[in-house]
Amino acid sequence: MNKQIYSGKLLPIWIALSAVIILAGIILAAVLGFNFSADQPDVYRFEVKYDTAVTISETAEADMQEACEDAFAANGISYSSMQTYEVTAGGIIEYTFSPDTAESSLKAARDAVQAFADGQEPFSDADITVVVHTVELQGFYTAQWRGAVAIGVAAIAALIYVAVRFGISCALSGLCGAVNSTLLSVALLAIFRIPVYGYTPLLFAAASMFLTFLLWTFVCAKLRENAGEPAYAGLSAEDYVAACVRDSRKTLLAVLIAAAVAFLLLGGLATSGVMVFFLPALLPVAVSAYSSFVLIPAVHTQIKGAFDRAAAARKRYDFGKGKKTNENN
Amino acid sequence: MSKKKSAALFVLITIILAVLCVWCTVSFEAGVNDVHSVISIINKDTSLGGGYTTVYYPEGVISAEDYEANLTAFGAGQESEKEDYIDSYVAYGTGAVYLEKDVVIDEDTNEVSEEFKAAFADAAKALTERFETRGLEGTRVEVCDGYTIRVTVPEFLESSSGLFNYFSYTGDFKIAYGTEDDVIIEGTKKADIREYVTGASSYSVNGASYVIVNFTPEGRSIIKTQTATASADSEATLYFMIGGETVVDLSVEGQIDMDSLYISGGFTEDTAAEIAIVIDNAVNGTRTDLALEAGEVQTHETPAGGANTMLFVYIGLGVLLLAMAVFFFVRYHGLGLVHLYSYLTYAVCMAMCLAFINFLQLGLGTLVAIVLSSVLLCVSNAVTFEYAKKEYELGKMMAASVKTGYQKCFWHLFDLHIILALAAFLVSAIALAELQTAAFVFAIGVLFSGALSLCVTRFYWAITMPFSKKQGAFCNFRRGEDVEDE
Repeated sequence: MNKQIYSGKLLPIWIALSAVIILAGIILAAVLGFNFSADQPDVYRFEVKYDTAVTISETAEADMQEACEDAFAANGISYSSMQTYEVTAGGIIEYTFSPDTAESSLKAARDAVQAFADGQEPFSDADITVVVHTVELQGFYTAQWRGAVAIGVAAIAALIYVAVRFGISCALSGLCGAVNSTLLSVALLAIFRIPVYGYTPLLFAAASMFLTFLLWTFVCAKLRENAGEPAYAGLSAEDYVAACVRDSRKTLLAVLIAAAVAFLLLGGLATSGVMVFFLPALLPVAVSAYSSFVLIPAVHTQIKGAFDRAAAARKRYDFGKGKKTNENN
Repeated sequence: MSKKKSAALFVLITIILAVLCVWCTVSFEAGVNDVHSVISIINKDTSLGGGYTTVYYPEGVISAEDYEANLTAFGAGQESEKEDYIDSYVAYGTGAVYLEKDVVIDEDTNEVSEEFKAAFADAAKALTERFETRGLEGTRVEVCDGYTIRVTVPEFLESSSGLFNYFSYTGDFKIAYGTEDDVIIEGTKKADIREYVTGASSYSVNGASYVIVNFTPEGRSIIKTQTATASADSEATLYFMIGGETVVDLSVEGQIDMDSLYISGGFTEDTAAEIAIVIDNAVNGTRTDLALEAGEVQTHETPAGGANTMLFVYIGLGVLLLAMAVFFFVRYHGLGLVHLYSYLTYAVCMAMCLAFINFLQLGLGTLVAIVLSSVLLCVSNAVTFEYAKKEYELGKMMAASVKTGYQKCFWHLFDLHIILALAAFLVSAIALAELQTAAFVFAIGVLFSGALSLCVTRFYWAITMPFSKKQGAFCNFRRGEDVEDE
């Protein structure tokens, strides 16, 4: 099975699959952008501000919250989050509504809450302001492009180290895997319109890259370790890569399962604001699994095959000089 | 290692780890002072720890609350003034803000003037640039009600009001000498300010913080000429101003002739960074002349991620720790204890780094970094155990199995940790905000993982091993089928 997956015959399918997803993701990201709804970029905020006449009462703030929620229910609207603030000599209750909420309903709720405050002790003695704000989040674009450059530079530096320690063929395969993982995780966020925070795509791209390096380095280590073993001598590039991936499969699975369980648990146990971050974090794990088990070995089979053929050709030329070359290195 | 020596070391390490774990996790009262645990003093971003919010009002824009307060301030007999006041403002959008007609509204169209729109857009861009450069995790900049700017920063800032105030300075950057009116360097139509000043940065060392203003040769020459007569006896002041407001001043006691001027003035690291950002933005960033006023500071009572966010995060991490310990004890029996000690050492080190390295904050990205580096440590330890197990299966003595196992996997794990640490440090050096912090935390996590899995775990293994008579059983290692037991 492994051998079939890593064979050159299936490589065009894996490349096409990745290319189609990445291309679709780029187009969708360019046209629609990411779904940054977790960041609440364009929302309404319903704000009730009051002074110490309310905050000194044990129940007034809770009563005000109840009045607000009654007003929302009466006008058929529901909020996505609630926040309270402490200010000098007073406090603020703030409800966030999606941009789809009817402004007229919000204004009606505002009037209802203001009427409640005007006609009820202790609110009638307090300074209370009820307003509806429109909100438009500003993007941090410098952080975006610098993050993208950082991931690119780090990938190249890490792969130079891989080239020195494990050989150029391993570095090239790792490069394909890292590019595939980073782009694929970002593309899938765009395609499935997964709600994310503004910084999530870059963070997931970096996490995918780190995970891919982590997994691929284990395979590289196995490729290096097995190179001198008699049991692996004489194997074709395809068989050798398949054998090494099979040998490191347990370690790779352990990494992937541990990361997936951790993200699932942190997301599952968390509050909504944290859940919306950790459950999509399974995406870098899945993408790294695809890259490490399917794409990189298939690419490496081809690259190693080409390097082996070149080495064999060199060996023929160098035969008279008595140089030795290791087939599997 | 002898049994007595092992026992002494084991007890000592257990005590140290236990004390460190308690120090990291338990807060308590000691007399009149509270003793805070290490994890309780870790800086948290807005999603995990809450924050501070303010609203910047441009000149000509006031809140509905201020408008109402101003109206009620008019007393009896001031009806005409009250009418004038009402006539001078118009409610905008949902009625949360009021616009001053003379400043904001175009008389011809009765709409917000194009000039004001452009000025506000520049102000919003300049503020966004300043807060982005500040790089605090969880910072939000929002345009509210069309013409106000609402900013949220994380709770750990020493002085959020100072930050909000410094970043409200708008206008051209100027340098005056002697008095604030004697401007010696300013941008003109012929020569931009960048002809004289290249920018500003900040620097902190040994508790002292500096704002550094960098000059071009032309700017340096002007400063040198102007300060030529300065001496300790005839002290004068150099004023660094933005839009007519002095943001920092410097007493000059001698001629200044340098490319970079280091200004100290009792700044904290934060204030030095903030002043430098404002000056640099006024020189190199989006220029804005629109006067901004920061409103009152609102303190978040719950994190943006929801109430009890950290509690659930700690529960999640606790469950993961338990699951990890169970897995290692089931698979490796006594070696589970070795791994647990190793992991607790890692956890204590990470907690202390997060608490005591100033620029680190706990956010969602940082949690991902902690999870990934934890996974790395667990897998690295498991790999070393498996290599030793294989050697043991071949019939070697336990000590020889451990030694050979470590020898065989050392360079694999070394390379792995170097690759990840290198990549993570580079990302952290180039990226900003959340990604920068997460990458740095991942990098130090990788370094701890490397040091622990390659050295410390082996040491823990060495001191626990002598307690067991059947060392194979202690580690749940078995001989191969063809090999007789010891």
